[in-house]
This record gives sequence, C-alpha cells and structure tokens, in this order.
Amino acid sequence: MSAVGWIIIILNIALAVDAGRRPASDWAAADRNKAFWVVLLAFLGIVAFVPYVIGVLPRLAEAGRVSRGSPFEKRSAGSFGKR
Amino acid sequence: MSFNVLTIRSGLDAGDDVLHPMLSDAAIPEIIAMDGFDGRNVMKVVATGVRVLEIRAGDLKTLAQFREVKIDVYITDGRLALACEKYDKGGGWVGFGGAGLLVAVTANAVSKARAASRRRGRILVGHIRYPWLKSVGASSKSGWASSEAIRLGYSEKGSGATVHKLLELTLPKNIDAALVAQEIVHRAAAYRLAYYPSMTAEQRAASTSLIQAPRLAPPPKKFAFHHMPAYFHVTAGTAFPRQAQPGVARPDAVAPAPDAPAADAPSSAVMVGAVAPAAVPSPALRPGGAHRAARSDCPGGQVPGPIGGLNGSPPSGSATKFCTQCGTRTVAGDNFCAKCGAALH
Repeated sequence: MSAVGWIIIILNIALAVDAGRRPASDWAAADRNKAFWVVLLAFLGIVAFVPYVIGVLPRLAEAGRVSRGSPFEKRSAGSFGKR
Repeated sequence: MSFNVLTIRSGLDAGDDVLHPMLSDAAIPEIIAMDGFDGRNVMKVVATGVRVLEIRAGDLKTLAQFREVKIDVYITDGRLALACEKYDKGGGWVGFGGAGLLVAVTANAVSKARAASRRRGRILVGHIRYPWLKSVGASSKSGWASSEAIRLGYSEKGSGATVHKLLELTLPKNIDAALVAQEIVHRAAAYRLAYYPSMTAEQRAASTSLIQAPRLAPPPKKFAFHHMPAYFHVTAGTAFPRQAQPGVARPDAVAPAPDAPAADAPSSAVMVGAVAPAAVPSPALRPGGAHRAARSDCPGGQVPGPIGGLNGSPPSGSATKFCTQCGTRTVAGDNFCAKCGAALH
C-alpha cells in the first residue's frame, strides 16, 4: 500500500477515535448519530472521511465549544469524585 | 378541548406565548422568545427525545413522542421551554443487498427531503410555566436499556375531570438528569416565593426547603420526584402571577434606565390575546421584559391556593403594540423598543 493510503487509514482511525471520544451531548447538539459515524469511519475509511470532516466535525467542534463546562455534565469518579 | 403542551409554531404565527412559546428573531441565538419572567440566567441543555404522557388509572399512556431528535431545552427563571427544529426527519428505509441498499439510500434521501419540505419554517415548541409545575422528576441511566431523563408533572381540567400529565425529556448519557431536575425545582420554588407572597405558611416553608432541595437519587430504571406544595391547572389565566403586593420585585429586576419613564399603574402592563384551547374570560397580567425598565407594578401576589387553582379576572389594560422599526412586541407604557431601542412615541 502506498504512503498516501497509509496516511488515509491512520487519519480515519484517528477520526474514529476522536468521534468516539466526544460526549453524547456534543453529538446531540450537533444533531448527528454517534454510533453511525464511528462505525462508518472505522470500517468504510475514505468513504466517510470527507463527509465527516466537512459535515460533522465542524458541528461537533461548535457543540463542544458551546457546552464546555456545562454544570449538568456528569463528573467521572476521580479527583473531584461524583456529584 | 385538552391542552397540548407541544405545538408547532412558524415565524408567521401571531398571538402570544401564554400557553406555547413564540419564536424569537432569527438574529437571536435562542429559538424561543424570552419574556419578562425568564430572567437573564437562561440555562440551555440539549435533549434527544420528548414524550407527553397521561396518567390514567396508575398507568402511563403516551400521547405524543419524538425520538432521536435534537431538542433545545431552556431552563429559565419562569419556565422550562423546549424547541425542536427537525421534529420530522423522514428516512427509516432499510435495504438488503446491493440493489436494496441503493434503493434504501435513494428512498431515505427522498424521504428526508420531503420531511424537510414539510417542516420548513416550522418548529416544534412547548413549555411548562412554573405556576403549572406540579412535580419534577429524574431518572438516571443504569444499564443499556435506560437513559437519563427528566419528567415534569402538570395537570389540566378537562370535561370536569382533572387530567394529570407528564412531559418527559430524554437527555444524553453524559448529562446528569438529577442535576437538571434540581435546577428546575430550585428555580420553580424561587419563583413561587417571589411572586406568591400570600402563600400559607406551610406552602412557604415547603417552597423554602425546595430552594435548597438536594440532588435526587432515583432507584435504577425508576423516577424520583420533587413535589411542589401547590400548583395551578394549565390555563391561560394561571400562566402568570397576578398583581403583586407593592414592593415585590422580580428576581431579575433591573434599575430604571435614565430615559425610562416612571412606572405606571399596574393596569398599564397587560397581555392581550391569550390563546388557549378553552376560552379565557380575561387576560392575565404580565410585566415587561427583563431588559426593560423595572416597574414597581410588577405583579405576582396571587396565592397558589389548594390544588385546583384559582379563577381570577385580572384587570384588562391597553392593547399590545409593536415597534415600527423591528416589529418586536412591546408593552404598553414603554417609550423605547427593548430590542432595537427605537422610540415608540
């Protein structure tokens, strides 16, 4: 496989991981289906790459920016513990 | 005719926001137009589904349901409001095999386009004003089949019988529904204390304790509730508190602007044209918006009373007017448009 192919594969995996990592509220605010896009990115590679970067990622970024620090978000058990 | 907490609004809708929210201008980030009781600290959360349930003989009957949609939920000082732009998504076609998949993709595209055309310019909206709020509940996600959800209880008088209903909102799994419910009950209790100073001592004590209500701890796959000490049946006449005792200020009352006139008599701040399934004999009393000059005529002194509400006839006043520059609704007595600042007289 060529270097370009490997780059695309790595980018897709990175995007799939990034998509999976984003909280459910960001996906809800972006009005997109998380499971659908994570599976698409993980298994269909280049087919999902362009529509995701153009149509989904900007919405997720905006939703994340708006919802950052929401007082209603659950806090995972850790240094601050659960509410 | 029974009250539907959800309705579909378009930008061309006339009327008022007594029973259902009105849409705001496109330039404003909030889809819903805020009113004088909403205050400045409006919190927003996104829900993924909404259901309207009726309690019948201990069972729950679903009256309306929208799933897998994006719903903007606004928690204000005066109500919980919601708006959903893409309430009708279309799609749902499934295909198997190469040809089937192609057909399904095409059918879904057509279906979604038709749905978009059907709902163009229209938004699903609804709200529960705090005078109507009977209870606030939350359920936490505990396992694959459950979800974070809140329920708001309200009731209405229909054909002589009282009908109890719930508005259920499904939240994303990373949102703590119990915290959302806590915020709502805190604000609702504060609203009662601020605008109903003639409550009984028992109701006042209950409302005071609700202001500091702890976070609910619902059992797995079940709801836990906070109950309001009193509530009104949903009607246009009970949407807002009545005329307040002198000196009772709104939580977000601002000092009068230098150019603003002195506050007029209470009858100068009136909402006209209440829209309701059942006819309302006279309009409710309502002050101007939070960003307008403070008025010492702010209403709010109606006693919630026992369950069943009160039938009042607040005095009527002058008609609602609109700014000639931007078309925003104004309150009689205002000299300047709250939105664009244009002089009204």
